[in-house]
Amino acid sequence: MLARMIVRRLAFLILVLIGLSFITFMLSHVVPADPARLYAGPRASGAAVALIRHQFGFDLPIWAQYANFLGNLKDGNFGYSLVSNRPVAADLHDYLPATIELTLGAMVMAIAVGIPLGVIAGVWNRSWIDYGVRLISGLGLAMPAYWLALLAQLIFFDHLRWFPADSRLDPAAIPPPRITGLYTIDSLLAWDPGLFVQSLWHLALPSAVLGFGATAVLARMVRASMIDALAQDYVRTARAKGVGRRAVIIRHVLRNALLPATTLVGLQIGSLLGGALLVENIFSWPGIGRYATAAVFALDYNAVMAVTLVAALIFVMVNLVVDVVYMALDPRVVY
Amino acid sequence: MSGPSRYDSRRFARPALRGAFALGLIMGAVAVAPRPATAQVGRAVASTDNGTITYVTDETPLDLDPASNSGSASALISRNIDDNLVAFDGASIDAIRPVLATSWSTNADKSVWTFHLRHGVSFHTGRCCMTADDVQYSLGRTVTAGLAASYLLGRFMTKPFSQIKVLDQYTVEFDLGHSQPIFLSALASYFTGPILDAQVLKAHVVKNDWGHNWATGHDLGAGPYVLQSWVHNQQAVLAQFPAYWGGWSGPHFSKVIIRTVPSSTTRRELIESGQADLTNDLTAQDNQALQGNTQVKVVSPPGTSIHYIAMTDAGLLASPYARQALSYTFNYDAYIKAAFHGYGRRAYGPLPSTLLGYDPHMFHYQTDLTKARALFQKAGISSGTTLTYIAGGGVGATPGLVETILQAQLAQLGITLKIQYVNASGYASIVFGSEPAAKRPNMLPVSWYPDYNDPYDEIQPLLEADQAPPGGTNLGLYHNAQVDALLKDMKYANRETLIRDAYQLQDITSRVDPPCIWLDEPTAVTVLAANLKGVLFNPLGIDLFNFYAMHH
Repeated sequence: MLARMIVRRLAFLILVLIGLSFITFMLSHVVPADPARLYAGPRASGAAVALIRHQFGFDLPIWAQYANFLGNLKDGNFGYSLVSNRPVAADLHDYLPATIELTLGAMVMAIAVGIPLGVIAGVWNRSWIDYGVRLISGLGLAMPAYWLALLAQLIFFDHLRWFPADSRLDPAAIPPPRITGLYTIDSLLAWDPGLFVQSLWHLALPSAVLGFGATAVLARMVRASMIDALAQDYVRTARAKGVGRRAVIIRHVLRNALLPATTLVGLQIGSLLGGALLVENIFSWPGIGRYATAAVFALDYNAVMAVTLVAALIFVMVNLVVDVVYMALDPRVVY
Repeated sequence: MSGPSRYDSRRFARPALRGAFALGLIMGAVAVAPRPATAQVGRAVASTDNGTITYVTDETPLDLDPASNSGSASALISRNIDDNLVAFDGASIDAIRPVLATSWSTNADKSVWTFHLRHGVSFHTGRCCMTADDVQYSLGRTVTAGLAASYLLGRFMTKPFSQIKVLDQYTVEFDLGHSQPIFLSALASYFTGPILDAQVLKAHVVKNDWGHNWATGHDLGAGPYVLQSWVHNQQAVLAQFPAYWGGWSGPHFSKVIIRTVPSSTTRRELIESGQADLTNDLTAQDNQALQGNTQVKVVSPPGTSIHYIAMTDAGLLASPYARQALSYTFNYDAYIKAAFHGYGRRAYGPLPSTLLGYDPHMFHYQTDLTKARALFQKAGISSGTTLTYIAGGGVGATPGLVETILQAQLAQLGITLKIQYVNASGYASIVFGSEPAAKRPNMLPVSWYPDYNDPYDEIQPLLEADQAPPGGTNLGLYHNAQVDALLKDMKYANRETLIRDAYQLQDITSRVDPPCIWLDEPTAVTVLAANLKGVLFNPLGIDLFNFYAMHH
């Protein structure tokens, strides 16, 4: 049953990606623009611009351009970037791991902090602890990520010097040998504890900033689920039977309370990927957020398409994993 | 365990308010607390380790090929890993010093230039030594590749591989066919002049690309620094090239770190904390705030950029009276004050004040709505007329401010300014497109700078009638027969004629028949560590720093 569900989802994913690629392609070509001229520069001759248009296929009918794109895509070729002067695949190879690392760091923080906070707030409902958690989660929901990023830099770098202001490593530090592209993982695999600590130190502040909003959402969701679960008859029954408070919470209440939170984790990935754009700019984090911004402004069609498809792929795959975890947590769930 | 009781908002409100107040106090206290002394690790490293300089910029280098790169960050790397035949001497845009050429001579009318090359110049590719073949191929391909920089030397040579002659292994001759007194200045440009390893370039030619794809990402130069590492969108590290012909005696940095930091706030924090030695393009407010910091120096050398509003010489603005009226309409004082906070000055014509041929006595338009009203009437533009303006695309100083001021001024005359905001690609599509004049916006913002110290190079692409788009950059479709005649005379003129013609041209374009509302000449505000020496600003490459000349 699980295998059937996964196969169905993967088939659906392909349809989603094709539909998304079509919509994004058409929308990006509807905007009046001349990326060939932008690429060639203001002083390039008309002949030079025409040559570039021909080289990149911009002079073909739009249907032919889309067909070419799909044809290249099946070979894993996203085409050439006008902004970076490189194959888009090379750009994704460089920038995507940075964003994945940042997003994973943010999600780990959100889960590690948000869920316990929500549990505590739910268990000690209407106490000082609960009020504190609700205040913090309110702040997390209200503060825009870019403002929080600037504030965090001001306080934790400029004043306290606890964390660095930017980048993935110290200046002139040599990145670890690439295996995953995530500096934290790769430095561990290379058994370079110093580099691991350095990469973690650089990751800490931007991922905390990015994950603050998700932490707030998770904390509130878990709190509400805990309160709801604690009010159920089975909890009263368990307590009446003499089961200890801790055992009731951990064995009976928590598992049920985490179900909505599991779904939320999957949905939060989308907002984290979107929020990564602003955080990457403030912290000079070389991820696809910054790359996508430049691509959109330059109407670098190939890069825009590639980033859109990759983001969609990540989102769908993460939610697939979430659904599998959901099934594991609640055997009653059948897709 | 008790069930949930009725929610009591008073129980929550007071503690929540107290908590928020306490949190705010803590955050405020931290924010205003005195910062740790800036003799931190970063500044301490900079003062004890004279080997490394760190420059933080908001641009990201993308392309190392001189034939195609047109961005400052890319040209900055090229400037330090490559060498030209000649270079501007320090901050001068007139004096030329020998680099890979040790001497040169020219004939009487300056149409033939002969260069004698330096012996024993090694390339970073490992090959020694540079010969005349490398010069011919490096410079010729910038024209024949037809990429962004092809016009630079293409003005002097249409058949570079027959006009650049290899006389012997260390002698190369340029037969330009016409008198070209400013040819040396063009060769000193870091956008096209670099000499690369031709053998490696030729070995990597793919599909007639002249080695472009290879040169984009590889170091083929013979300059003082090699490209040690390059993490795209993050940083490039340049290391000392031990075999550099210029040697390493004296104080020189052994390592250069060029970091991409998009946020102005972060760049400011890095320079204040000592983790960077050099930065630029901060906001005007940041520059002002840093003026009082004794750990850094804020300098504002003049560049050669000009910002202006091009007025479409057609339709409603076909009459010179209409364009004179607009020139009287704009509020220049308010704009300069608001946009630059003292770091810029007005422009009055098509030439920046630092360039050869600039007329310091040319006519200056001042804001005068009475004169503007009378001239609009003369041009047949009455109250109730709507003019169009295309904004955005990152062009012009302080986007948003220019059109807002213009709109407010025109409103006082009963004229509506309709503003269309577009991104960079949309801007390129509209202004370089082939739409007829009637469908083009009446006005659009432009930023421009010269490639070398030549008024013809600066003005011809902007104002010559033949340079109208598509294919040209006369974005206002300006056409004035007298201006065209002067430009034609200037193309192969000697220095005296060049200056005389430039003065006449400025009189026409700044007073009689203005093609643009000339706005400003921004200075290149740069923040450097107080202990950084040897920083020279050349207006023709204002942010193309020569790291080899710098030291702590």
